[in-house]
Amino acid sequence: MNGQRDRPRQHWVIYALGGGWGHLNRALALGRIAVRRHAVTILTNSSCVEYVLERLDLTPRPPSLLGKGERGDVCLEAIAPDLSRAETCDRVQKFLLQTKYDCLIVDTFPRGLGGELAEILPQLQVPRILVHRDLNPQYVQAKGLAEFVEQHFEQILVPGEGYEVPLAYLPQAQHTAPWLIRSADELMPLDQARSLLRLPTNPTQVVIICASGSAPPSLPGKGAGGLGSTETQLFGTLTYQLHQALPEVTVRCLSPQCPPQCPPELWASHWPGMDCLQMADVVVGGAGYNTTYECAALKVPLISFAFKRLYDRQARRAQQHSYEVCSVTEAIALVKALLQQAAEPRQQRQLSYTNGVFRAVELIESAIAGS
Amino acid sequence: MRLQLTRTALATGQAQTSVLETPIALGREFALMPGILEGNRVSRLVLEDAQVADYHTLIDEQAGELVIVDQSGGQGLRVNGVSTTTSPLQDGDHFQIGSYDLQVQFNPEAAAVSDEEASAAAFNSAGECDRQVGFLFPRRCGRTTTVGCPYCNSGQVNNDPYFYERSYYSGYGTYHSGYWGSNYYDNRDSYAYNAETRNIDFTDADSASFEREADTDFEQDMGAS
Ligand SMILES: [Zn+2]
Repeated sequence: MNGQRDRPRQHWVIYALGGGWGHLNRALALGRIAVRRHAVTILTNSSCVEYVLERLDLTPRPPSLLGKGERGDVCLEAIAPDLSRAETCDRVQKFLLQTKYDCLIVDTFPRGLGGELAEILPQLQVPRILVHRDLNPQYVQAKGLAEFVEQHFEQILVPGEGYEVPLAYLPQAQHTAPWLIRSADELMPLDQARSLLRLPTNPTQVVIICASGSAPPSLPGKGAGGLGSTETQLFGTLTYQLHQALPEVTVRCLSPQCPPQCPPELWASHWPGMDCLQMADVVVGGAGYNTTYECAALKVPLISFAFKRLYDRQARRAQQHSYEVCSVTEAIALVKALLQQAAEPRQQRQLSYTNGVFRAVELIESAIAGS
Repeated sequence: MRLQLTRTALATGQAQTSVLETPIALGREFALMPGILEGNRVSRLVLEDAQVADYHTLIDEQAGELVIVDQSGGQGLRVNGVSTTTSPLQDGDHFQIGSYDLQVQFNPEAAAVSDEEASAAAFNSAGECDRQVGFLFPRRCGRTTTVGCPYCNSGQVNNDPYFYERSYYSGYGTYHSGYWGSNYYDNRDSYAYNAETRNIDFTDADSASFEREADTDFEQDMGAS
């Protein structure tokens, strides 16, 4: 990669629209590394953006997370999450047609979350790169995405999702390790993470409930009965019941806000959550992209609920990378079993994992150079 | 008859080659060129140029001879440098419309050019297929590739009416009595076309119309993930 620094600095735009944490977090993971050589703008309508921005304004900022790059800043172009579809699409189109940039990186939705990119992608004169998180094959078929992507994207990056995602067979597809917000050497020091989670000084086993979900819970084939009315409520209930069932274990619920039913003393809030997950012996969460691959990188067993999403296939990820459960009772029983198996305390193991964003930045640079 | 047409944009020198079956219409507006002539499917080649008429010329066989005929009302056609409104075409001839030079070659090395390129002419400037498909519910094909397209690409090849594009059926959408479609209209509640077999003659494109309705969930929720 010699000589890259001498290349003119480029402006990369990352389209990361979509609810929840996944799209924004993945875009930030890429953007904060890309910004070392290029200016980066992330387009987002996530309701989490305010929480993230608040965290970034704290002093000190999380080290090297989003701060000034050598050659530019990561800029968040936030679109209010409650805007109508028409307004959102209009803002996206205006931004993409009126801004100067050298490449467009589209996270997950090739035609845009509201279909708004379909009209403008063909007229953009810059290389277009698709970040291919897994997609519901019905959506791929209904919107003719294979043909669309083949024609309108110069490159497809599969960030650790494997070879069985719907568009991985296209000739432009390239695979990287999962994209993570923290590389192994950047994780928060253990004592800081411990105090952040208010963990007791005497070593006990730690279970972290990762309550990142936002939508009302819906598990395919299961009624809502017993799960609570929202995903966070489910995790709140689980936190309480786990604490009751396993008093000798330290239970923490990690969430931006304290979920209903969750005792406040068991709640902690931090972004990026990966700093905290490294302290866990077992994590319980959804089977979204970040939770799944963060746990995999940290080698922490994940017990997951595969929540139903319109576009994501959590069930597939849950089966491949975690222990899937469907009820609070099942989750508690599995936590017990996994804790009994865990021999060495988590905090003593050496972590070394590959963060796919570095390779992704190289691949995108070569796509731009080759276009 | 199969021809190879190489079009060169005179301004840029950029050349593109298509292999097309006659009759071949050339013009600026795909939809304004005829899709069917005397029962034959017309290959339509779109030339993006303000000097090209919506429907500029037609290349067809007449009495065993290949002939090019101006359709633009005299907006400009030159064959081998000579202004004309109709002219025979020989192998290797050049003709000019708007700011394009086109060369005709007979016996194209068919192997070198795929069917995909041969029908690339169906795509409009947005890269989408403009052909009308659907037996009951007309709609624009809208596909961005002919790869695996049953509606208009393969349909021409395997001659299966199930996949014909709409312009094959001149009476489509005309439900007055006497037209073939009147039975459809009369029996629209039972959708029984053939009174004996009671077969419903849906096509693939029709069922795709229904699919689209069922798939309206996609691209609506801006908070989805
Ligand atoms: Zn078509």
